[in-house]
Amino acid sequence: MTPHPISLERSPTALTVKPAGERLDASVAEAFVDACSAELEDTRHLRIDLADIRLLDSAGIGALARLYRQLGDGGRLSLANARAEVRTVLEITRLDRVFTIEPADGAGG
Amino acid sequence: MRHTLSLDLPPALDSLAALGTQLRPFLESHYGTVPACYEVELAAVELFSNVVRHNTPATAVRLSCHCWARAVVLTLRDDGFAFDMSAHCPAEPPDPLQEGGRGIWLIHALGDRFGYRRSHDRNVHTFIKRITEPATTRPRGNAAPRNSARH
Repeated sequence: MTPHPISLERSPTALTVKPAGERLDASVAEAFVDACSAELEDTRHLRIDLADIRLLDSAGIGALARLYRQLGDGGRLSLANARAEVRTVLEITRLDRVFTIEPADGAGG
Repeated sequence: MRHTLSLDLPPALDSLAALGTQLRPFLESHYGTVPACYEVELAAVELFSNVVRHNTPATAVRLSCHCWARAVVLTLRDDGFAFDMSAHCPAEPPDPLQEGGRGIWLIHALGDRFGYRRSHDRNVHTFIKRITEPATTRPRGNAAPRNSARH
Protein backbone atom coordinates (compact mmCIF):
# COMPACT_ATOMS: atom_id res chain seq x y z
CA MET A 1 0.00 0.00 0.00
CA THR A 2 1.30 3.46 -0.87
CA PRO A 3 1.64 5.65 2.25
CA HIS A 4 -0.76 8.57 2.40
CA PRO A 5 1.01 11.87 1.60
CA ILE A 6 1.82 13.88 4.71
CA SER A 7 3.90 16.92 5.51
CA LEU A 8 6.13 16.91 8.56
CA GLU A 9 7.52 19.47 10.95
CA ARG A 10 9.84 18.45 13.76
CA SER A 11 10.49 20.57 16.81
CA PRO A 12 12.55 19.61 19.87
CA THR A 13 9.37 18.64 21.66
CA ALA A 14 6.93 17.41 19.05
CA LEU A 15 6.41 15.98 15.61
CA THR A 16 3.66 17.74 13.66
CA VAL A 17 2.02 15.83 10.85
CA LYS A 18 -0.38 17.31 8.33
CA PRO A 19 -2.28 14.85 6.16
CA ALA A 20 -2.88 15.74 2.53
CA GLY A 21 -6.39 16.01 1.20
CA GLU A 22 -9.71 16.92 2.77
CA ARG A 23 -10.70 13.54 4.13
CA LEU A 24 -9.40 11.19 6.77
CA ASP A 25 -11.71 8.31 6.00
CA ALA A 26 -11.70 4.58 5.35
CA SER A 27 -10.12 5.05 1.93
CA VAL A 28 -6.93 6.60 3.36
CA ALA A 29 -6.83 5.77 7.09
CA GLU A 30 -4.53 2.77 6.90
CA ALA A 31 -2.12 4.46 4.52
CA PHE A 32 -2.09 7.50 6.81
CA VAL A 33 -1.12 5.34 9.80
CA ASP A 34 1.64 3.73 7.74
CA ALA A 35 3.01 7.12 6.69
CA CYS A 36 3.01 8.44 10.26
CA SER A 37 4.36 5.26 11.83
CA ALA A 38 7.41 5.43 9.59
CA GLU A 39 8.26 8.84 11.06
CA LEU A 40 7.49 8.33 14.74
CA GLU A 41 10.89 6.97 15.88
CA ASP A 42 11.12 8.05 19.53
CA THR A 43 8.43 10.73 19.26
CA ARG A 44 6.58 11.31 22.52
CA HIS A 45 4.32 14.13 21.38
CA LEU A 46 2.57 13.78 18.06
CA ARG A 47 0.59 16.73 16.75
CA ILE A 48 -1.78 16.20 13.85
CA ASP A 49 -2.78 19.31 11.97
CA LEU A 50 -6.35 18.83 10.76
CA ALA A 51 -6.70 22.26 9.15
CA ASP A 52 -7.50 20.82 5.73
CA ILE A 53 -9.58 17.89 6.93
CA ARG A 54 -13.23 18.34 6.08
CA LEU A 55 -14.40 14.85 6.97
CA LEU A 56 -13.22 12.52 9.72
CA ASP A 57 -14.97 9.15 9.86
CA SER A 58 -14.75 6.18 12.20
CA ALA A 59 -11.80 4.73 10.28
CA GLY A 60 -9.96 8.04 10.62
CA ILE A 61 -10.74 8.06 14.32
CA GLY A 62 -9.45 4.50 14.55
CA ALA A 63 -6.25 5.65 12.85
CA LEU A 64 -5.77 8.36 15.48
CA ALA A 65 -6.33 5.82 18.26
CA ARG A 66 -3.78 3.49 16.69
CA LEU A 67 -1.16 6.22 16.45
CA TYR A 68 -1.79 7.18 20.05
CA ARG A 69 -1.15 3.60 21.12
CA GLN A 70 2.08 3.57 19.13
CA LEU A 71 3.38 6.50 21.18
CA GLY A 72 3.39 4.21 24.20
CA ASP A 73 3.09 5.05 27.87
CA GLY A 74 3.40 8.75 28.52
CA GLY A 75 2.87 9.60 24.87
CA ARG A 76 0.70 12.54 23.90
CA LEU A 77 -1.39 13.12 20.80
CA SER A 78 -2.69 16.59 20.01
CA LEU A 79 -5.12 17.61 17.31
CA ALA A 80 -4.63 21.10 15.93
CA ASN A 81 -6.89 23.31 13.82
CA ALA A 82 -9.83 20.92 13.77
CA ARG A 83 -12.97 22.35 12.18
CA ALA A 84 -16.10 22.62 14.27
CA GLU A 85 -17.75 19.66 12.56
CA VAL A 86 -14.68 17.49 13.08
CA ARG A 87 -14.62 18.54 16.73
CA THR A 88 -18.22 17.45 17.04
CA VAL A 89 -17.32 13.94 15.90
CA LEU A 90 -14.43 13.86 18.38
CA GLU A 91 -16.86 14.83 21.13
CA ILE A 92 -19.50 12.26 20.12
CA THR A 93 -16.89 9.52 20.16
CA ARG A 94 -15.32 10.88 23.38
CA LEU A 95 -11.89 11.19 21.79
CA ASP A 96 -11.76 14.72 23.15
CA ARG A 97 -11.26 13.13 26.58
CA VAL A 98 -8.14 11.30 25.44
CA PHE A 99 -6.46 13.63 22.97
CA THR A 100 -5.50 17.24 23.44
CA ILE A 101 -7.70 19.38 21.21
CA GLU A 102 -5.79 22.56 20.53
CA PRO A 103 -7.68 25.75 19.82
CA ALA A 104 -7.55 26.96 16.22
CA ASP A 105 -4.13 28.37 15.39
CA GLY A 106 -2.79 26.84 18.59
CA ALA A 107 0.96 26.82 18.86
CA GLY A 108 1.20 23.48 20.63
CA GLY A 109 4.59 21.85 20.98
CA MET B 1 -41.64 18.78 -2.22
CA ARG B 2 -38.93 16.18 -2.39
CA HIS B 3 -35.53 16.49 -4.08
CA THR B 4 -33.55 13.40 -4.89
CA LEU B 5 -29.93 12.61 -5.67
CA SER B 6 -29.07 9.13 -6.86
CA LEU B 7 -25.52 7.85 -7.16
CA ASP B 8 -24.28 4.50 -8.40
CA LEU B 9 -20.98 3.97 -6.65
CA PRO B 10 -18.49 1.22 -7.50
CA PRO B 11 -18.20 -1.09 -4.45
CA ALA B 12 -14.76 0.10 -3.33
CA LEU B 13 -13.58 2.49 -0.64
CA ASP B 14 -12.09 4.69 -3.35
CA SER B 15 -15.67 5.73 -4.11
CA LEU B 16 -15.88 7.68 -0.85
CA ALA B 17 -14.34 10.77 -2.43
CA ALA B 18 -16.97 10.82 -5.19
CA LEU B 19 -19.69 10.33 -2.62
CA GLY B 20 -18.58 13.35 -0.62
CA THR B 21 -17.98 15.51 -3.66
CA GLN B 22 -21.56 15.11 -4.78
CA LEU B 23 -23.60 14.54 -1.64
CA ARG B 24 -22.52 17.51 0.48
CA PRO B 25 -23.14 20.18 -2.22
CA PHE B 26 -26.52 18.60 -2.90
CA LEU B 27 -27.50 18.75 0.78
CA GLU B 28 -26.21 22.29 1.23
CA SER B 29 -28.06 23.47 -1.86
CA HIS B 30 -31.29 22.61 -0.02
CA TYR B 31 -30.58 23.32 3.62
CA GLY B 32 -27.67 25.75 3.57
CA THR B 33 -24.55 25.19 5.61
CA VAL B 34 -25.92 23.49 8.70
CA PRO B 35 -24.25 20.82 10.85
CA ALA B 36 -26.86 18.29 9.77
CA CYS B 37 -25.40 18.28 6.25
CA TYR B 38 -22.05 17.13 7.62
CA GLU B 39 -23.73 14.55 9.82
CA VAL B 40 -25.70 13.11 6.90
CA GLU B 41 -22.56 12.96 4.77
CA LEU B 42 -20.72 11.21 7.59
CA ALA B 43 -23.55 8.72 8.03
CA ALA B 44 -23.49 8.03 4.28
CA VAL B 45 -19.72 7.46 4.43
CA GLU B 46 -20.11 5.05 7.36
CA LEU B 47 -22.99 3.22 5.68
CA PHE B 48 -21.16 2.87 2.40
CA SER B 49 -17.90 1.76 4.06
CA ASN B 50 -19.71 -0.89 6.07
CA VAL B 51 -21.62 -2.13 3.05
CA VAL B 52 -18.38 -2.51 1.09
CA ARG B 53 -16.60 -4.29 3.94
CA HIS B 54 -19.36 -6.49 5.36
CA ASN B 55 -21.84 -7.10 2.54
CA THR B 56 -19.12 -7.22 -0.16
CA PRO B 57 -21.39 -6.32 -3.06
CA ALA B 58 -20.42 -7.36 -6.57
CA THR B 59 -21.99 -4.46 -8.42
CA ALA B 60 -22.47 -0.75 -7.85
CA VAL B 61 -24.07 0.44 -4.63
CA ARG B 62 -27.06 2.71 -5.26
CA LEU B 63 -27.16 5.64 -2.85
CA SER B 64 -30.34 7.69 -2.91
CA CYS B 65 -30.71 10.88 -0.92
CA HIS B 66 -34.18 12.36 -0.57
CA CYS B 67 -34.34 15.87 0.84
CA TRP B 68 -37.66 16.86 2.41
CA ALA B 69 -38.39 20.13 4.10
CA ARG B 70 -37.63 18.75 7.57
CA ALA B 71 -35.84 15.46 7.02
CA VAL B 72 -33.24 13.69 4.93
CA VAL B 73 -33.76 10.07 3.95
CA LEU B 74 -30.71 8.14 2.79
CA THR B 75 -31.15 4.74 1.18
CA LEU B 76 -28.34 2.39 0.18
CA ARG B 77 -29.09 -0.66 -1.94
CA ASP B 78 -26.51 -3.37 -2.59
CA ASP B 79 -26.44 -6.91 -3.93
CA GLY B 80 -24.06 -8.25 -1.27
CA PHE B 81 -24.55 -10.78 1.48
CA ALA B 82 -27.51 -10.18 3.76
CA PHE B 83 -26.27 -8.23 6.77
CA ASP B 84 -28.43 -6.10 9.00
CA MET B 85 -26.17 -3.34 10.24
CA SER B 86 -28.97 -1.70 12.14
CA ALA B 87 -29.20 -4.74 14.43
CA HIS B 88 -25.52 -4.61 15.37
CA CYS B 89 -25.36 -1.38 17.28
CA PRO B 90 -23.31 -1.58 20.49
CA ALA B 91 -25.40 -0.74 23.54
CA GLU B 92 -22.65 1.46 24.94
CA PRO B 93 -20.45 3.99 23.18
CA PRO B 94 -17.23 2.27 22.08
CA ASP B 95 -14.07 2.75 24.10
CA PRO B 96 -12.47 5.97 22.82
CA LEU B 97 -9.21 4.15 22.10
CA GLN B 98 -10.80 1.22 20.33
CA GLU B 99 -9.41 1.12 16.80
CA GLY B 100 -12.52 -0.24 15.07
CA GLY B 101 -16.13 -1.10 15.63
CA ARG B 102 -17.59 2.37 16.06
CA GLY B 103 -19.00 2.95 12.57
CA ILE B 104 -22.42 1.41 13.16
CA TRP B 105 -22.66 3.05 16.55
CA LEU B 106 -21.87 6.38 14.90
CA ILE B 107 -24.63 5.92 12.30
CA HIS B 108 -27.13 5.41 15.11
CA ALA B 109 -25.77 8.40 17.02
CA LEU B 110 -26.00 10.71 14.01
CA GLY B 111 -29.53 9.89 12.90
CA ASP B 112 -33.10 9.62 14.11
CA ARG B 113 -33.89 6.28 12.52
CA PHE B 114 -31.81 3.51 10.97
CA GLY B 115 -33.41 0.46 9.43
CA TYR B 116 -32.78 -2.52 7.19
CA ARG B 117 -34.75 -4.84 4.97
CA ARG B 118 -33.99 -7.41 2.33
CA SER B 119 -35.79 -6.86 -0.94
CA HIS B 120 -35.39 -8.67 -4.29
CA ASP B 121 -32.08 -10.18 -3.19
CA ARG B 122 -30.73 -6.80 -2.27
CA ASN B 123 -29.91 -5.19 1.06
CA VAL B 124 -31.77 -1.95 1.65
CA HIS B 125 -30.42 0.29 4.43
CA THR B 126 -32.39 3.37 5.37
CA PHE B 127 -31.13 6.28 7.46
CA ILE B 128 -33.35 9.20 8.44
CA LYS B 129 -32.28 12.48 9.97
CA ARG B 130 -34.57 15.32 10.91
CA ILE B 131 -33.45 18.78 9.92
CA THR B 132 -34.15 21.20 12.71
CA GLU B 133 -31.51 23.90 12.51
CA PRO B 134 -31.99 27.15 10.65
CA ALA B 135 -29.58 27.58 7.78
CA THR B 136 -26.40 29.44 8.70
CA THR B 137 -25.95 30.63 5.14
CA ARG B 138 -28.39 30.94 2.30
CA PRO B 139 -28.88 27.80 0.25
CA ARG B 140 -26.95 27.99 -2.97
CA GLY B 141 -29.96 27.46 -5.16
CA ASN B 142 -31.05 24.22 -6.75
CA ALA B 143 -28.23 23.62 -9.21
CA ALA B 144 -28.46 19.98 -10.19
CA PRO B 145 -25.48 17.79 -9.26
CA ARG B 146 -23.91 15.93 -12.13
CA ASN B 147 -25.32 12.54 -11.29
CA SER B 148 -29.06 12.08 -11.94
CA ALA B 149 -30.61 14.53 -9.53
CA ARG B 150 -34.37 14.82 -9.83
CA HIS B 151 -36.25 17.90 -8.67
